[in-house]
Amino acid sequence: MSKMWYMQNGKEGDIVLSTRVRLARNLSDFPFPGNLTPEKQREVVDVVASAMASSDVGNDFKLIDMTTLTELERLQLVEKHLISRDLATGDGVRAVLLSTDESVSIMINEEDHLRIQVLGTGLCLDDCLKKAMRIDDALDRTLKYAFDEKLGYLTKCPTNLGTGMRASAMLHLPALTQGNAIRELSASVGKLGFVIRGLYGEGSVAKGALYQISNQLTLGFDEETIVKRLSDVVEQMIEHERNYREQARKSGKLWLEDKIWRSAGILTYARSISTDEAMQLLSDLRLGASLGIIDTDIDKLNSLLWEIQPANLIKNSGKEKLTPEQRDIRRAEILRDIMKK
Amino acid sequence: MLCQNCNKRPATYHYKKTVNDDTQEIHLCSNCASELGYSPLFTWSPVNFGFNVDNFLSHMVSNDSSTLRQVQTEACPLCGSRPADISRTGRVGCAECYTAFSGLLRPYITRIHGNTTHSGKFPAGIGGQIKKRRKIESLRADIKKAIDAEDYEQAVILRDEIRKLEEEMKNE
Ligand SMILES: [Zn+2]
Ligand SMILES: [Zn+2]
Repeated sequence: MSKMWYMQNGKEGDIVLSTRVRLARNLSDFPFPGNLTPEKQREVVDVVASAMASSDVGNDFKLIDMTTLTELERLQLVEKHLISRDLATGDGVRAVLLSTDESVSIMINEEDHLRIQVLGTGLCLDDCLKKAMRIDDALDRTLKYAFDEKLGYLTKCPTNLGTGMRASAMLHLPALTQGNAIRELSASVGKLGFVIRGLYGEGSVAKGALYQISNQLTLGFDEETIVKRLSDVVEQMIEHERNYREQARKSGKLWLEDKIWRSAGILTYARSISTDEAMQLLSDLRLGASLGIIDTDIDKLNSLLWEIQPANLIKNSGKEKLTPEQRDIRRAEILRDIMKK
Repeated sequence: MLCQNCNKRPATYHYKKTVNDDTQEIHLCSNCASELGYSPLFTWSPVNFGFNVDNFLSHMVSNDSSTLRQVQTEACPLCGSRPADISRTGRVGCAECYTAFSGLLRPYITRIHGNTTHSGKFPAGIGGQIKKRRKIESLRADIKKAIDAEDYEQAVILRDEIRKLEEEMKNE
């Protein structure tokens, strides 16, 4: 089996972990999923699935009915960013069309009838957009989308009107975080119509210094323009992060090396470790790898990011259930194994 | 029931106006309701009373000290959502809601996105027509420029181009 996008390392991979383009689409013949009976929701799933099956990309997709999966299996998909938490935990008849390489996932009956998501490793906004448009075109041949000339694609939430597109990049910004520069950056990026938020956890602390930047506006600009501007903003953020890293290396080389090696030490020897602590230590390791302080494969770090999350951890242990304590022990084992290599 | 102001679109907003003991009902489409200053978002209060509404109502009722109150708004014909549901959740129930409650949603959408129009992708089925219509609009603006510049030859060329597009649209 070839490596999935979430096990690889891509362009600008020391800072940009992954890229995503998501299109919200609705069928004009049905009210939105929340206003449908289970029977009608099933009909929406069938209509979308058969549109996909009859399209020229249909062979590449399999339909996964959320109601046939265990909660653990659904959360596994969330941890890999293949579906949203809402789709995993919501009510009603929900499904996802997943491509064989898992780089395209079409959520059915989430907030909107369709959420077409294309994911890629590293910074690849253009490629993701092109692919999303291809999939959208293929479905558009059969499906009748809800659309208004002025408002564009009609969506459940007015914040998604227009293109229905949310493009985003997942960034590792440890030096900017350490330098307390995120708030300022986020304010200036906000003026350009983009939002930065912590990828994991709620509140102001971004776990593992991981952030997501995405476009806020969806109406009034075409898809290419939005993606081009986002790419420009991301490039600038990469430059800022690199500058901060360089400064940190110059002004505190010993301190930085000490911190990174200490983190490596804990990851190599700890017997029990929580998700939060592991993410922080792996963030240090990732920084160390990109600065050439420590020799670690970035693609391995990308895989660990979801392998150490609770659902995947339990599933891969072959057990049905693990208590939080057992999970911490198992997590430490996985990390020790990796660090030995 | 049709809107009693424009007599074209279905009335989805219903107001009650009480003059002394005499109660009158006013039925408007969402367009006219918002144009005439009836805020579909809030129960009507005298502060929101636009001067247009005065003109409009003057032929219906003569007493200005009357009170007017939004008593009920019909549900969306397709999904059954009511304006209160939309105001509460910030989300609509179906695509049709955007037409049924355009007066309620328009200011909200403007607040989010600015006063703007979709300029991205179109579904293949209707994209051709829309593109042509927009082309015609921009050609009309060009004609005006040409006439202002006294370039009548160019204006004729542009006019013929518009005619050709209009003909194409008719045949589609
Ligand atoms: Zn009217
Ligand atoms: Zn509706």
